[in-house]
Amino acid sequence: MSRPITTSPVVAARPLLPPEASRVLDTDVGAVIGALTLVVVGLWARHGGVASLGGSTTDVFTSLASLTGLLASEAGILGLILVTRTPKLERRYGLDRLFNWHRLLGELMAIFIVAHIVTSVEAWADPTGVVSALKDLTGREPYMALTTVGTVMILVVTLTSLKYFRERLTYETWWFIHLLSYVGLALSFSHQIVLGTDFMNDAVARWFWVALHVGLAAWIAWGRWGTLVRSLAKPLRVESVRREASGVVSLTLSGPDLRRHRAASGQFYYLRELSPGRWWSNNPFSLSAEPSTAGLRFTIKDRGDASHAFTRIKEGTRVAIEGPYGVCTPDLVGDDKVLLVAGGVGIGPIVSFLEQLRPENQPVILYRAHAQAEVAHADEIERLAASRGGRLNILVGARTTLKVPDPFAADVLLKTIPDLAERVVIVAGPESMIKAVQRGARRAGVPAEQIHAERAWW
Amino acid sequence: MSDQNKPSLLRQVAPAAILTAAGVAFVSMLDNPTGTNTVSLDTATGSDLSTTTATVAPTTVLPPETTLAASPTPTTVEEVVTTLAPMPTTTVVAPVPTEAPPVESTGACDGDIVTSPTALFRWGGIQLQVHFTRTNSICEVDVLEYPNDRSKSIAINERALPVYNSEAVTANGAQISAVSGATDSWEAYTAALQAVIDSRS
Repeated sequence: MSRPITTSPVVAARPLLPPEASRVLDTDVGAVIGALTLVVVGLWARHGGVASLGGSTTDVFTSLASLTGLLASEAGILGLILVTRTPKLERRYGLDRLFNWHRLLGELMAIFIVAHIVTSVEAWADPTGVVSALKDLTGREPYMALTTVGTVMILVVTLTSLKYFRERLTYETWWFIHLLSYVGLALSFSHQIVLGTDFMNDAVARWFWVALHVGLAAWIAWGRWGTLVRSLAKPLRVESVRREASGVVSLTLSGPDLRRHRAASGQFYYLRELSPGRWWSNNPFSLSAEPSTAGLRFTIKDRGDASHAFTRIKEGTRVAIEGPYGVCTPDLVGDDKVLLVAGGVGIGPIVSFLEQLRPENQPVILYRAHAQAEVAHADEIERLAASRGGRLNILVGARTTLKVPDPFAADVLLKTIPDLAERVVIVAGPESMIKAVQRGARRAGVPAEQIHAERAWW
Repeated sequence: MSDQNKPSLLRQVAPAAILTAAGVAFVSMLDNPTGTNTVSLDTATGSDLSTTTATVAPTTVLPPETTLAASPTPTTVEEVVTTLAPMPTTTVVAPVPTEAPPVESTGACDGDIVTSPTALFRWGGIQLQVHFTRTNSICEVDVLEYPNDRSKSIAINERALPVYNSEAVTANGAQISAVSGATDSWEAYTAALQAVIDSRS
């Protein structure tokens, strides 16, 4: 793999070591979730939660309020662990799946919170009535004014993360609203200790609960915010900017600290341009060349928003990076034959992937673009494919102008690639294209575990 | 992700087994009240029940207590306190001013005054001061302490405790009936009262 050597003239550039494989198993994750649920439900049952269900109406509601509150906390704790960006979890499942589960757990937490509110009001309404209960639970009871504010924050965060609102907010607005969830959780923590009887009356349970939350806060501080601080402390610089196609540029970032990085083709980083007015904007971009000590290359398409600023970035600008993330790396394919499918700017990760393949892989590359002017890296791919005994098919044009209604239908794919069923399929691009390829490849006989997708990270 | 690296069965099962065992061990370490409400007497306050002999002359105390019985609201308590103020011995007035007042007196409170141990239950503690006549019947009960860290507790107890106080005097013992919605307090109240009665038998 010949690459221009652009760093120190003394030390030759070498490819970065791949990230360490994760030893985390699905069963480990299941064990943690199961054990936490066991402890939470066990704590509730042991403190008389089950016995109370046979008591008066108020006892039943008090018991259910306690259970729903505990389960809301559990969902919150698990949801936060997912966004600590713990490398072991990320390497195993990929950031996109972790985010997805985080969102589901957030929604689950909101449902438990609403149930907790309803049952608590019912429990408090005896004997003084609902109005009095509401007054108690929004202010008169200790710490409930804080908890009310915190709950409103958490519900706002949940609402703004629903697809309807999420699509109407910019990433940055949504992200800053999302930070409120930390404040909301902190504000509502005290009422868990003081108002319910589970922790107030049982020192062992109380210390466990406090320790669990302190540990989680430390984990987030180190994993999430520590990553951010470390990335800001050692930024890279834009070494070169190259126009690849209409509205598409490739940036190469370099710096002496790259030697200590580990990354593989197909992964992505969050990039943060350290310049006035831009430093708060943090966006994911896929590597578009095999990462090496000489630099990290990203191919960025101007999509109007934050990506626009990156296509205008000047050489020498400092850029903080967080990553690498992503599980769609060349170690997935081994010696198998490979089909690479790229859509639009998804070509970036596909190029970097291709660089790490060997002749045994006989790669076939399908490259889908809307217009000829948008096709980037075509010569590079042609050369890389040829040297690995593979070939490149470029399919250009709007969907309506194509000869076939679905270019990724099973019969169309099989006509171009008769040995498709033996191949590992790697697809990077927009969601709709990923779905189409997955469907087509499955119907053409590719087993599901042989199809790997990387969402287009800009 | 190749099949050669497939983890052993032990590796797959061990974390679940260890965490489950730890979880079960932890849960079994927790307090396990047998019912929905358990009452325990705080021996620190209850080991020696303090008994004082009332020095109030029965004739001077009776009229204000009768007034108390008629109007059990806290504001009236203050009025009563004012009424009692000129008198040198005001031991009959509850030390907690928001306290439910003693409701009834069937006789002169010229006997012992006994402070109960604190009955601890899930919402806090109840401590009573029981006044006896010279013939050893309960003539008045003051509540020295009741759960007041939640406004719900305050509401429940302010409603129920005056009733329990008057029931205790009427029954001259701990066999009193519960007010609906205040059974937890009832259990603690009767436990505290019973402790006082037991200490004197």
